[in-house]
Amino acid sequence: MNPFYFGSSKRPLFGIHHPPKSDIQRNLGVVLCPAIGQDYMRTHRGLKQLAIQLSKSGFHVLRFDYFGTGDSAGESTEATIEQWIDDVGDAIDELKDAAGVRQLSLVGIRLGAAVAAQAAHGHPEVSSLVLWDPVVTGSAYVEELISLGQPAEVNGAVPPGTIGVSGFPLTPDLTSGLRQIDLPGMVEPMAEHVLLVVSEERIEFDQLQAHLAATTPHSSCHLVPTAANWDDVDRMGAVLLPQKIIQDIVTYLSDHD
Amino acid sequence: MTKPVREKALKFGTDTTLIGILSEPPRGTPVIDQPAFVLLNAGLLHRVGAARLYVRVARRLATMGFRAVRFDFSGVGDSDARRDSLAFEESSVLEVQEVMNHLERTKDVRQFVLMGLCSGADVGFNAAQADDRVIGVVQLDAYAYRTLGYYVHQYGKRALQPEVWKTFITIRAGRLLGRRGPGKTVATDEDVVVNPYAREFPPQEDVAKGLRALVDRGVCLLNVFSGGQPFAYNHHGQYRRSFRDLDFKGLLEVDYLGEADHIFSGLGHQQFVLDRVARWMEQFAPASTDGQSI
Repeated sequence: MNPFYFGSSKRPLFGIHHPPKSDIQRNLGVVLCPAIGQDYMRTHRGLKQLAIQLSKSGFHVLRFDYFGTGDSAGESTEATIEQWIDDVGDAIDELKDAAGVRQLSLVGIRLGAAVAAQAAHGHPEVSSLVLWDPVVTGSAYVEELISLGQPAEVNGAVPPGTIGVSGFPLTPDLTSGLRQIDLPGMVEPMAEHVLLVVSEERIEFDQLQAHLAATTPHSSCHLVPTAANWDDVDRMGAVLLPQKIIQDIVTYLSDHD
Repeated sequence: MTKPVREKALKFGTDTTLIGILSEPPRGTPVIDQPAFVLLNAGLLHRVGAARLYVRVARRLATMGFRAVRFDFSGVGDSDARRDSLAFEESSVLEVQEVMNHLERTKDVRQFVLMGLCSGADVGFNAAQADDRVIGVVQLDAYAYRTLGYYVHQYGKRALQPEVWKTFITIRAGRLLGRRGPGKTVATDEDVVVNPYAREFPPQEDVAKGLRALVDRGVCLLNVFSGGQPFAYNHHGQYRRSFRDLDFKGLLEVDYLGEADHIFSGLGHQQFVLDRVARWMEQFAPASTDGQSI
């Protein structure tokens, strides 16, 4: 496991490369696209565990933080969806250089799934995509966040109109970008192979599944019932570690390499 | 345009591999050689801290000229689990010392200020007692003890009613008999990892003894309490009154943000902590820095 910074020196991104820990030679590299805000805190350990399991199965894996999140450069108030989509592109290039792989898979969780879906569209080397409990439509996600938030009372420290959501600033720019997300509205196929893996049944997951079936050469949907309270704020710091979903993703990618 | 703080990923440790981030002043900013600032995990939250508070503190201090490290204890965030069976109370102090050793070896830093929230505050307090290199400690929601004033604030005039005391004594007796008190966590779901560190406040006299040792050594203390521990702390001035026999010799500063939750998740509360820590750290910045500009 190698922690490092990559990308532009003015906007360095923090990443951790997990090289393969197996004799199996894989042709596929995997970039993990994290969630944001409280989802990010709760899923950090789960993504680390997924990276470890994938590396034990022979994959090169890159975990990273978007600009303005985690250990990457930038203030949280500077974050935009467009920047994060570009960041996924930088992560793809970084893993290609570091691991020498030509084919990649993107695994995105919650908002990271929506970001990954949009980033995959512009990168033909991404042959497969895993959407884990994805944010399907940005407008619904924004409403969810706003219901948890409260207006920020920090004079001058955040842009006007910013809402604090569990400690993270939801700025007007970010809100506007989030509202543009509409996975069932994407006309082009996201990737050759797409797995939708969900921890519970929801109408929007059904809609996305139907859309994927109509637009994607090879799509599948796995329902793996597990705890899904991603955005819960546990002040004692409990985190989610859905082992069954992690194993499901490892099996899927191993079968599709 | 402000030059960016320079950050570098760290991988260090002898007993296990620990992962952290070193924040250093922007190019052109004079470096304050001593002390360096070390941020300690709160529970299972990884090194970025609740709502990224630790990242903001580290970068703010780096712009002032300080070096700051945020890292993960073994088994937390990105650091490996230990192979030995040391309890967290022991391993955490050893791992703080690992960070200090690393900075001493690589940057010639010999003085440190520690900061932590909740369990991180506890570790900071313990590590400061164990290692003379620590010259300052910032504790967010440190160990706290009820005073008469606590009950007056909690119950007001009800504190004078016998029924209230009867209820209190019943609860207290239950705890002494081993029934679970506040702050403990248990596994509730196979998909959830809970903090194995069950926070229990040590006997008050033990904490007083530790504080006395730190004060005698000249260690500076900043405590910020939230309103998120209402079972233990509920008003300005409680901390000093709970250690009223102790002469802090002007080394202690205490704030109370009653509206804040335990992880200071309000954006205004985060900003308060950020500004407060930065202002408090100014005492360690020489008026004209002798440090080297890099």
